[in-house]
Parts: sequence; structure tokens; C-alpha cells
Amino acid sequence: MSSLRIEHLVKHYAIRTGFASRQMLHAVDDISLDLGAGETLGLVGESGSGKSTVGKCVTMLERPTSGHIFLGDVDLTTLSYNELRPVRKDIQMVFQDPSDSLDPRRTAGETVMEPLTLHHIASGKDAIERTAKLFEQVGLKPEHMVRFPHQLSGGQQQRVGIARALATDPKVIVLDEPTSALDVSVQAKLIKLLRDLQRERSLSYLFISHDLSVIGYLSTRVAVMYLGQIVEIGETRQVFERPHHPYTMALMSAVPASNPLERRERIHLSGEIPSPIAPPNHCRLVSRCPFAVPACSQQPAVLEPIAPGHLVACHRAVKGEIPIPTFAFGSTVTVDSLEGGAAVEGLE
Amino acid sequence: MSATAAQPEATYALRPPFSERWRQGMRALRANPTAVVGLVIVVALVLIAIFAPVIAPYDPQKLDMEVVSQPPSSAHWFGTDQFGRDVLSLVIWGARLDLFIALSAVILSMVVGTVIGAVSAYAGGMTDEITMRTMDILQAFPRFIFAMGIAFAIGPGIGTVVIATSVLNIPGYARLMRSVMLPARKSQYAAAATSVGGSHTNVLFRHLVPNCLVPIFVNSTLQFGWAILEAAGLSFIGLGVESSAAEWGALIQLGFQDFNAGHWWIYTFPGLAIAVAVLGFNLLGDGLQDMLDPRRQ
Repeated sequence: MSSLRIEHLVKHYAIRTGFASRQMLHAVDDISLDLGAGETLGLVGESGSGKSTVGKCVTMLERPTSGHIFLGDVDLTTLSYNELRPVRKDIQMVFQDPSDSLDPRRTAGETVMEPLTLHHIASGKDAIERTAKLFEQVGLKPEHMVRFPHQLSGGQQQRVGIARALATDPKVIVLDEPTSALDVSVQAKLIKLLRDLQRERSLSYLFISHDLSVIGYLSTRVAVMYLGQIVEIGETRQVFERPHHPYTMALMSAVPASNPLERRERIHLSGEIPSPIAPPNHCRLVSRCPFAVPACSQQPAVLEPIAPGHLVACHRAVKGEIPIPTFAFGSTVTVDSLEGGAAVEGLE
Repeated sequence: MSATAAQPEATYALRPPFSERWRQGMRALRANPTAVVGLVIVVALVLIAIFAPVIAPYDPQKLDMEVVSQPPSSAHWFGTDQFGRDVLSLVIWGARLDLFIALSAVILSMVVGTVIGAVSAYAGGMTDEITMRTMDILQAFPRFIFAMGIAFAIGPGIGTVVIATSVLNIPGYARLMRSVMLPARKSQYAAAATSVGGSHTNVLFRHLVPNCLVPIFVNSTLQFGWAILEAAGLSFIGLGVESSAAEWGALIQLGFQDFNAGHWWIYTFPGLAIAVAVLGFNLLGDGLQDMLDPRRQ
């Protein structure tokens, strides 16, 4: 049973391109995903691929232009702001920048307690005690409750953010690059904390990141985004070991191998990510793809299965016309690559 | 990260104890001598205003034809005016009236302007557009012409001064609030407040507005000085309080009438009072700017 289902999600932003002229920026173009109970779906992509927009739409912080988001049986896109409020209990978010995601005028304790009182889960002394318990669950001390955000370290701030997301005991948590603002050793601890919390509470994670090692470590399945679309999706091992889409290949080949003797052949994409304003109707990678042929510019690339649960949006890969490289999954996602080789407390 | 052994009946705090905040406040003050000077002046003015009946050596409205237009002396430190009233007592009582007018005007414009600016920025779109254009119109009124209009409608008096000084300051506050609110609205803590299930009112007034108040308070302190100047100005041209009232602007006007006779003390002392008050509030405002930011502690 899926706890979260995204159907044909589209998000366009109107932007001014001159006096009185407006154009549409296609941040997300027709994305469908589903997230099983207790599963982690990693959403990877470079900056500007629209992965964060997906996160904002899923939590309804941004209204999708079209498409549906089902949380259980409820279509979130049909609900008004006030109708959404009680539903938000079940889908929470951890934000990218821990220092900006905490109200600077509230103590950490007040921040974590707010969802409890908003949803009438607890009040008064009971709420304070539950807050203290949440602090312990995320590895903070109850003494940290009286601290203001600026008195906490980045890692502690993000733990507060995680505690806030856990307070309502949600089913789904959207994690929007929760560790990218932190340094590597702190990252590793937080990733482990997230994994442990998931096991204890059978949470579903939508994990948005550009960091392949983090994604590989946490995710059951991975979706690779490019310019507002999903180009490849499948089990993490499938996608990481045998990437079929040229874009995924390029991403994987760019991950530094932890074994210095292993030679990786880099698959280079030339140029920059094209502008998401008026993107082409055909495969969006054509301008950068080393395997592109004229036929690629004639029709849109749609996701097609190449193995059970493994879908790729590439005409040529589906027909087996391009060589599929093999990467060692282990070497990409060992915790070593997370920690930068250093042994970090608590990680196996 | 070790979890402390929490006693079951341990009581947890959500806010640092008051003593800690007091210590922090004192430390911030010590680092900020200008703010201290401003604070001392303002507190002194407030005390003078509150205890005017006790401090003033004479009844400010007592006419004494024996001592008309006398220069400063040991009996009358600031001299007397052309009706024989004690200028020192008038200036002391003037603090009461002027601070009251300035306070009412500042609070009125601050509350109204802040709410308008906050809602406008938060709502965005057409609401924002219409509100801000209305503010433009309001701001385009020449102040003294507007005051004349108010005076014509409801007659000169304290009410006229308060309305004239506050209404035209509303756009300033609304604009200031809006400019601070626009980036705050885009912050992740605002998104977080929404995502945990807060109502619009909760997000706007419990999270965003408190974080946008520092410039508003600082501006209010500065506005306080301006309001005193403006109130005095309106009374000086006869649109404010009646000319015989113990008010700094009215008093300067009175002295001005006797300008050619060389009775400098009648207008100099209330003028100095205005200068000191404006200076005090400006120093305090500048100091507050540094102190009220929690990130700078």
C-alpha cells in the first residue's frame, strides 16, 4: 500500500521576462511517483532540476499547477489551506537550511512543542514532557529546549527540525536536502539518526538530495530528475549499478570511487542544464547527451520499463542501443564515502 | 549525544530563566553607551512628565502680573512669560502634554501601519497592490495642509494633533513592515510554520510579525522624536493645542510674539526641551537597533 502517491504533478511558475511579458518556467513537468509505507524514495538531481519544487508541492507549501497528490486516500490538491491543516499532521517536512527553518525568536522547545498544541495532541505540562522526550529521541538533551536557534550548532538545529517533524507522529516525512548545509561528520550522524527513526516508527521518507552517497545509503528506490522530469527510476541497487539513462550514467561516473585502484570511465555531459523556460518537446537531454541521434529530437522520451520496477526515459536505452556501464554499488554508497573515509561514531 | 537520565517528575523549561535574559539585556546595554544616554534622557523625561505636579515650582497657569516677562532669576530659573507664568513650570508640564501626544500618535500609527503592511505583504497579489497604492495616496498629502483639513473638520486641539501626526505616518510603517515581511515570508521558518499546520493568523502574527518588529520598534523610537517636533510645529502655527496651554510648541509661539522685545528665555527653553527629547529618542532608537536583534547577543 502506498502512503503517498503523486500523479502527473506539474508546477509552472510565471516569471516576468520584460515589461508586461510573462513566460512560464517549467519547474516540474508531469511527474508520477509513489512511496510505500516504511519506504525511502530518493529524489536525485542537480540544482534546477525541480526536485525541491516536488518537495514543496508534496507538502502543499506550493500549489501544484496540475496533478494530484494522494496522502492515503485524500487528494491534497483538492483541499483549501484550512482543510489542509489537520491533514498536515500526517506529512511533515525537514528543511534544507537548519538555521533558517527555525523561528529565531522561539526557543527550540517552543518550536518542537508547537505542532503538539496546534493539533491538540497534548497541552500544558504533558506537551512539555512530550517535547523533552522528542528531544531525547533525536539525540538532544532536554536542557537544549531553552536554547534559541542561534545558540545551537548546525547539527543540533537540524535535530530540532527533525524533532519538530516527528512531533505529530507523521506517516510521511519529506526531507529536502536535510544534510547538505552540514559538514561531513555531522551529516553521517544525522543520516544514521534518520535511518534509526525510520526503523522505529516505520516512517516513509521522500528524500531529496543531490548527494548520491547519502541517497544510496538511505533509499530503497531512487528517482533521477532532470529538468523537471524523471529520467530513471528503480531500486537503488539497479539504478546505481546499472544506470540505463545517459544522465544517470554521467551522475554515477562523477561519484569519486572510494577505491583508488578502481578506474572509472567518466561519462561527460557537455554544457549547462538548459533553461527551464519553454523546454523542448523532445527528450530534454539531447543538447548534452553523448549518445544523441537525430531521432531523439523528434519525440518526447517517456518512462518505459526495462526490468521489473526499473523505468527509463530514453529511446535508445530502451532499445538496447547504448552501452550500459556497471558501477560497484558498494563503492558508491559505503558509509566511507559519507564520512570522507574517517571513522565516525555510531556508523557501521 | 547521550540522553540525560530524566527524572519522571523533572520539570522542563521552555524559556531561559528571567535572570539570564536580564543579564543578557544588561550586557547588551553595557556594550551600547549611546543607548544608555538615550535611555537616561527618555526615562528622565517620562519621570518629569509623570511627576510634573510635584516637580514644577509654580502652578503653570497662575498669572502673576507682578513678574511679567522677567529674565531667568533664582526665583524663576527659566524666567517668566508675558502673563507672569513661570516658564520652568510650563516646560515641565509641557513634557506631560507633548509626551502624551507623541505616544498616542506613535502607537496609533504603529499599530495600524504594522497590521496593514504585514497583511499586505503576506496576502500579496491584488490585495498588496491596492493597499500599497492607497498608502501612496495617503503619503502624497502635504502634512500641514492635511492638519489644516483635520483642524477645520474637528477644530484645533489635542485630537487634531494626534490624528494629523499619526494618519500620515501610517504609510511609513506599512511600507517598513512590508519591506521586512517580504523576505521573511519566503523564509523556511515561515514554510515550517505552515507545514506543521498553523493557520494564516498563526503564521503571520505568531511567527512572522514578531520577527519583523525590531525595525518597527526602532522606527517608533525615532518617530517619537519626530512626533514631538510635529506636534510642537502644529501648535506653533496655531492648529494644535490652544496657545495658552503648557505645550512646548505653543510656548515657542508665545515667545516668538515677543521676539523683538528680546525675551529670549520664553522660546529658548521649550526649544531646548524639544531638542533634548528628540535627541534622547534618537539615541535610544539607534541603540535599540543593535540590542533587539537576538542574533547579535
